[in-house]
Amino acid sequence: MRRLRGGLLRLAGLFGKTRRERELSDELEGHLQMHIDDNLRDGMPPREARRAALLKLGGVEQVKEQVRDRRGLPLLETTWQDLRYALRVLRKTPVFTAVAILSLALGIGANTAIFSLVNALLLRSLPVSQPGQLVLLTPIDKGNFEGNFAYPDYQRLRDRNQVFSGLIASGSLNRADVTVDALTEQLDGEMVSGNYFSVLGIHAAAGRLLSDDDDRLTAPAVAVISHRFSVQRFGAPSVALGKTVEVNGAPLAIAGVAPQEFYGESTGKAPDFWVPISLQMRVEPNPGDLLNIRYITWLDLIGRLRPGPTIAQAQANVAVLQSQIQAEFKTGPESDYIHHIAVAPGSKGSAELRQKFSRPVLALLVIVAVVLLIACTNLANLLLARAASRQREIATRLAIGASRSRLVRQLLTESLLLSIPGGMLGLAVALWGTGVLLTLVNTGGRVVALNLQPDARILLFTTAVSILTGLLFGTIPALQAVRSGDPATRLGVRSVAGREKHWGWREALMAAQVALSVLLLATGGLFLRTLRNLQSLDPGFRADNVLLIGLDSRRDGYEGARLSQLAAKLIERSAAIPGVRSAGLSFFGSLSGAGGSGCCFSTDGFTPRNRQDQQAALDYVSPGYFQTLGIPLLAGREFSFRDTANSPQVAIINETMARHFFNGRSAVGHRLTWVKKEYEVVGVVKDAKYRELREKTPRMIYFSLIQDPHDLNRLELRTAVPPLAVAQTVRQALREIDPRLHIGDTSTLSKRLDAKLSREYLLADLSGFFSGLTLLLVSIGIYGTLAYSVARRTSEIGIRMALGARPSAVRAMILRDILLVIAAGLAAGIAAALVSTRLIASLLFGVNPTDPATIVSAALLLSMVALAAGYIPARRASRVDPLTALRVE
Amino acid sequence: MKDEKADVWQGTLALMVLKTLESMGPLHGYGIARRIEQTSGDKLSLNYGTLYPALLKLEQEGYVSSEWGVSDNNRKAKFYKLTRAGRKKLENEAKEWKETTDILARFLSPGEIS
Repeated sequence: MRRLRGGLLRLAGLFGKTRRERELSDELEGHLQMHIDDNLRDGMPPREARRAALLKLGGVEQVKEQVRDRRGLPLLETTWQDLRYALRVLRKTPVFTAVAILSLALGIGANTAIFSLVNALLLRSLPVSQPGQLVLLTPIDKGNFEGNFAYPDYQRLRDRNQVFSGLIASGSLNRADVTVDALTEQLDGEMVSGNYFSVLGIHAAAGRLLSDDDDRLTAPAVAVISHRFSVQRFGAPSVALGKTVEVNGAPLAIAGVAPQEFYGESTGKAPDFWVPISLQMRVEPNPGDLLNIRYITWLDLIGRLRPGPTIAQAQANVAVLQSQIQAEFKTGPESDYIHHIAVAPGSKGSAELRQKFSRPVLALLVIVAVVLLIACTNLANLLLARAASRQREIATRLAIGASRSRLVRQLLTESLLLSIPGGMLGLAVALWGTGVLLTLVNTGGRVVALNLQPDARILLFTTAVSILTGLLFGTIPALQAVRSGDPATRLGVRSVAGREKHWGWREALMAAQVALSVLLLATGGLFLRTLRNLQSLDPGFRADNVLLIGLDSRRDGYEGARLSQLAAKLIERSAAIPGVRSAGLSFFGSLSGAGGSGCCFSTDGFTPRNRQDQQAALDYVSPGYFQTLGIPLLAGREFSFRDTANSPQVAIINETMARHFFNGRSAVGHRLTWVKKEYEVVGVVKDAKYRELREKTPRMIYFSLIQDPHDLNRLELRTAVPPLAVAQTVRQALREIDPRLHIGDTSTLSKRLDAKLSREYLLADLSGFFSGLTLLLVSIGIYGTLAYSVARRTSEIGIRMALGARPSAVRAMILRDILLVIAAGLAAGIAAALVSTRLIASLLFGVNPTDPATIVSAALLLSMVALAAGYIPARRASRVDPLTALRVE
Repeated sequence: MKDEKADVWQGTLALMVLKTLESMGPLHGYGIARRIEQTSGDKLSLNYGTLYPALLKLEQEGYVSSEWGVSDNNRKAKFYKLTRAGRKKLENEAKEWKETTDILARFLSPGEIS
């Protein structure tokens, strides 16, 4: 207590200084006077009396200093002194200060922005209670692909397991028509099991959430909506309760509102409503009754582990159940869609997004860290240069008794005074940057909902990075300054030559900077080439000038013959629109994000080795599809309107499929059997990408949408004009055919292509940007260091020139120093690149991680920029006027 | 090493100051210093300057309080006074000090340790 009181009083001692100082003077003066009086009384002569009194006291000023130390908080006071002094110093060099703070703001901002992504994708736990207990269940098929579960499997796993206190299922319901008060919008939602909210431990913001009762088919039709949706459409959560919301036409009563912070169980998604799985037939009737079939898999499963069992035990338990389930359904068509079930920690929820972006985002984090490191070496070098020019000041301060540690502390205060405002500005940069990042991630339309708001973790990260940065670039210069400021040597005559030794800290830092930059540029180059490779990759179709319009004929109630008629009408009408060259329809379509495959195809003369051998990707397309997408026909013909339900069944296959099943023979005219039907191959088309650009083109078979009526999900138009220019006319024409037609998203094939490249764009754009930043930083660094060294050697250069050195020789002399440094840096950088680019191999396409051309061009580009930056000061050196130079001292 | 010594000195100095104030009543710094020297039988040579930081510390911790007054020979001076907390502190410290010296005395007196 007493100590605390003392501390507080000392803190208070920082204020009211003048009065205290006066009182102290008075007190000591009084003391002296009384002592002198006594001494005089003892018979001392006046001068002696005063001297003795002073001696006994030990010096007025010394006592005052001791009292002052005791009065305030010396550390706080000296820090305050340091701060004021540092501010003065920084104000004297505004350009240096601005450049330093700005480059730090960019560096720290970039780090914070990327870290926000890492945080949202990889670190944040689901906003649920005790997320650490959650595990993800993922079925893996024979081909090692991850899939989803069917409802019957879920029911059995839920009821029979001995390891989970709860097992929940969710299936997405994307772009559903959600109608409130006759106003319809398309929203993403989820169908979830009744125990979904209780197992996750979520409590309603209003009303009630779902319960096990909602799993019954006879349960009342209800929905839970998101907090956002409730506020947007009803004003407040409580207002929404009991209101009716139509989901794909099915009226549901709003039973409750989820809490604001809850965004579902999957990072990157933000569903706006949740309906019980038991309502599937009402809200999503298209695929049929999913609750009773096993061949359609659509559910994500998350379990909450009971206290006790480990993940391994859960895995074992699930494996046993899975083989039981498999045995139970032995006779079904898809009895073995699951090879095994993987159980993994699920505190962060399921994350397709995480898998796609975690590696690139971590790669970017390393890249921005390197950029910051380069900015640090830059500042360290500039500070070193400044420290050298402050040698006299420092030597003087050491000479009059400042301790070295005190001086280091003061110099570090200066660097922190740069790095902390840099960090604060960086936070602003990051806030702006995360917005840009999100648009980059969202290239191609799919909306990713990531919470990139700064949280405590991000603030902590930025603060730590700022302080660390300040110490990192400040320590070496500070130590160097204090060491070289030895009073004995420094206050004497200054030497004429400014250069003391060949390799000091400055050269080492510059070389390190060059090395890091080579590494960054090489990485950027590799990502750029990956993007270029994928862009110039022949997808098998011509992506330019293709308009895509989403349809939903199933929901519009078309089936059978009426569907074929609608298809014919749609193609005929839209192909007649001016500016449209041809039209086609598809069930899935290239790069639509969906796709199908089938088993087991067979033909005479083909002996399959296994089931895999008989598989092929498939799609249903209309006449005109290949022409419209620009997929070249290699043999035979396209589908025509004369291929009807009554004519022989036809199919078109791609090159790969033709090679696989017909092995060199001409495929056209031969027959393929699938699900007990025979198809005549009427055409062979060139291989075209189906689901992914990076995929190895699959064997692919196309069936006629007219002959075997399938839902029309996408209309494709090849245009003679920019595709979006005719979009409005086309939509109008479609309305004229049937005003009730659901018309979905309008897009273009090249946009879809870009969407497939969102990750590559993200990497190429950002690493390109950071490469540019790096070049800028390096040239500032080299220019600054060299300009400073020229300034210091002015008198030396003057003498050399007075003695007859030619300007070119002077230039060469200055450049020679930097050349060695650059060469060393390049060598180190190339070595580092050769070793470390392997880490990003999985993110590259069509280019070797140690691609010599990329690394060499990175090195060349850097040397050119470095030399250009170095040439300016070198030229200035060669123009030094000997007479002026000699007068400098 | 040097600091350590000073600390011990500071501690005993504080005790002496408190004791002086207890027996003499309110007193200014110079008076305290003279009194301590006298009491020690002039065996202790006190550097008067060290008294002031010690007084400030005692005041900050609430063991003494101060106010301005006039000395015997009409000089303006700051007078220090023992507070209640200071009295208690003195009691405790004196007791502790006595115990310590007793123990040491027993150790150092010849023949007592068997």
